[in-house]
Amino acid sequence: MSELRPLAALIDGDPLRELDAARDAAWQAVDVGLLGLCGQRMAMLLGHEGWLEGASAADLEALADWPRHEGFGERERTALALTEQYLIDVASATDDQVAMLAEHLDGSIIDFVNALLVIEQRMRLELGLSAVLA
Amino acid sequence: MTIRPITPRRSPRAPEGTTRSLPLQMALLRFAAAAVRNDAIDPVTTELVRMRCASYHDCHT
Repeated sequence: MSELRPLAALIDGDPLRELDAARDAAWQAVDVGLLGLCGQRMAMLLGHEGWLEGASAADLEALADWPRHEGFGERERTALALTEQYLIDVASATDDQVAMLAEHLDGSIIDFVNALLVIEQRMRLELGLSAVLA
Repeated sequence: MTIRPITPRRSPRAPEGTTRSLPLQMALLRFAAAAVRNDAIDPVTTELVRMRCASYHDCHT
């Protein structure tokens, strides 16, 4: 009987509510600061202005120049590199990109990528709906 | 007779010791299940979109 409980949990629910739940779980599973930074970079590339509200012009300018800007360390750079690769062409992410970030995430590389997925889904959904339904 | 896989096998990338957040995994499974069950879109369109997304994301499922 107890074996059926995880499956039973999958039977009920609507997509948007479950997407909200995934968002909440994602922000609890990984480093909030690093995920927020990568989320901002995603928003910049996708043109999701809502995500960038509250960020200063200087911060956004630095983030746009992250490969060279001295304000970012190796951990942030590897995360941003994988984030951009994930967003633009995830199938072409290299073993080296994954391995380098994994070294910085203390065993949470899977959660971090899952969190990127959740953020990307929401951004694209919001952008898509606003474009189609505007 | 040798049965070849439809898609090439990939090497695992997550190093040993990698953990997974169970709440996040379950939340993603629930979302995927809810999306698949959504019948607002006809099955053919749904399948076309699913296959296109799987191709883009290199998803072998």
